[in-house]
Amino acid sequence: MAKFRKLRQFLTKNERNKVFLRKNKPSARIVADSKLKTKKILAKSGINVPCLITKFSRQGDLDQFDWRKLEGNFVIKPASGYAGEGIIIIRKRGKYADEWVGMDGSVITTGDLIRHCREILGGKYSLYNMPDEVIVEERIKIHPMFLSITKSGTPDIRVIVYNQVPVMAMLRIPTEKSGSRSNLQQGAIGLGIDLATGITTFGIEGKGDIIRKIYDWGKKKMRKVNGIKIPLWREILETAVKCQKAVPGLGFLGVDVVLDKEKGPCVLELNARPGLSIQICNRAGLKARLDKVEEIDVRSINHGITLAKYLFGEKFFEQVEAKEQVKTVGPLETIKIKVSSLLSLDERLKVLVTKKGKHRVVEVKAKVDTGAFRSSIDRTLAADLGLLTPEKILYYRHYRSALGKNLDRPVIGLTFWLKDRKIVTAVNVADRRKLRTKFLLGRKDLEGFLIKTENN
Amino acid sequence: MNPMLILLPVVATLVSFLHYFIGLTGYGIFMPTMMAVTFLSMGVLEGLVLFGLILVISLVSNAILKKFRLHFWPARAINLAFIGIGVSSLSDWVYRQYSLNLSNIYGVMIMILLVEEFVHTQLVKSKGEAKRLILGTLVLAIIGAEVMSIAGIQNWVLAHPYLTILLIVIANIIIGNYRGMRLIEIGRFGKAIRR
Repeated sequence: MAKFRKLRQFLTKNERNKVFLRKNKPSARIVADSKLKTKKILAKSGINVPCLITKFSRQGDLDQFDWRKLEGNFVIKPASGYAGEGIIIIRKRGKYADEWVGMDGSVITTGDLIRHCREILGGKYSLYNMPDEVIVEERIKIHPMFLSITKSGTPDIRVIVYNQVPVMAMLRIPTEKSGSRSNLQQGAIGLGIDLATGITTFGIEGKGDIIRKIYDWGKKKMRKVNGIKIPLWREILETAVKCQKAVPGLGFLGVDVVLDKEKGPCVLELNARPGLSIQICNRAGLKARLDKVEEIDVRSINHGITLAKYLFGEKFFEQVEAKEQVKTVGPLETIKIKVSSLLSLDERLKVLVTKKGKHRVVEVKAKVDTGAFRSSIDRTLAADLGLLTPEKILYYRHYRSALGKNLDRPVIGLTFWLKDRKIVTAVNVADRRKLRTKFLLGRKDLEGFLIKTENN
Repeated sequence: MNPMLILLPVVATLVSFLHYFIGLTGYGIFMPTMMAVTFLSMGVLEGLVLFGLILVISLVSNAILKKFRLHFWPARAINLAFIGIGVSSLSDWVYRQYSLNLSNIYGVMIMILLVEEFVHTQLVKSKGEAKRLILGTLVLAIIGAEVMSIAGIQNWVLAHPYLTILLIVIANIIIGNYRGMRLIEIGRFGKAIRR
């Protein structure tokens, strides 16, 4: 019985069709069904879309077009195409006139392109074989982050937006089996994404086969499906919500966002009938999430994204956030310096030794000094910690101290923890015998910290 | 009254029940219904043989026609010619060999429609999806035909045509308002429950 109660969180096909697809008005659905109209409206609202080079609505347009104008890096696709069919991607000009090179290196002639356009116009790739238009647009340059997870096609991110809140997202990875298309229906891979952090969680292949590993083309071995961090995550969510603002008639909307190397998030198409498999790769129900945001009066894009973050974020979200947060340090801080486990310390220092995880550390008071570049450690302390042996010294450097003394100071490698953040660095060794703090924190090791001069 | 005319909505109701409650899917509702009625009138085995014949001829002729790079409609017309010749010559042979009667022009026409849907889906969606849908259509049609061929049901429907219509309307209102889970979705989403 418990299982049945848990099943209730999922959005069923019947309910999607009966309740949620009715939130999409017919006039808005026409926009979503035509890539050309979508592109026009989104561009007007300031959303990134691949640039339109030209379109053919009639045979005549096609005859008049001068293909020699094109430099390469373009895509030919049907305006009302379905599931990524009928798309030809051209990378560059071929060796000879009227020849082009596709993404897999195959040679395509201009004649082939014209014939393909004619087939699109005739309705070969549209639903019900209705006459269609041809779009010629700029090619999306795949974000380097995604190069390692796919060999064919461009991965995209599907975000479902409801009531101006992103409610669920997945990364869709085209495979050879899916014919370079990123539709799960065609056999592509889908990875659920945590809305708060943009980190992948679970995976499926096709419409329902659960997978735990995918192939990493960069490292040439299998890797886990979870833990891939999507770059520009916040911008992606913002783009998705903006799309719903641009086409308000689409109440229950799936936005397909791709990441361009130069332009960042770009919207390829809007989907007025988003699929339900996204629930399986997120291992979470859409129904429960849609119900949660139903009644909320969302005031801004920011509000919508914050809601998504706190309502639907995974458990690991707080750990990730804590890690990324800017930490504050005061003028005087206690740092923990790592001590080699082989070293035997004298009694005086043993008192100071504590444990941090599996490491032995010594707590030392340090003074923050942003005027200094490199941190420095007291000579006696460094010697006591066994850091001044000749093999530990990296090099000598000439320093001019504040008192005008010119000295050559040894620079040594050191690992320490400041506010629980591990810092591996090189510090110079100075004579700080007469000073109260035996360690000086330079600005090189304070990267990512905020300094607060007032302690409260 | 033609008994088939009353049986048609009964089959359609059955098909829609199987779709919305169980999760079987085919090419829309009319394709499986038409196929069920075709199977009912010419026999399930004969129907399947005829369908297989048309499918094979179509696939072979498409593979050949692809090489000629013709416009879409002329290619379809030639395809029809192949089907016409193939079915008429082979159905005689099948009749002589296995005494299966395949000569049913309406059956042939509906099956051509189905095969065309199959070819189109293969093109615009995917091969897997096309196979899934065609299998679904055949399964729905066979279930429909088998249920309708139960003599008791046929007799009852013919004896109470108006009551049947009323029951069909009521049943479809209930099916039409069902929002819950389809039987196959329990398995599908069951995998997605976190432990």
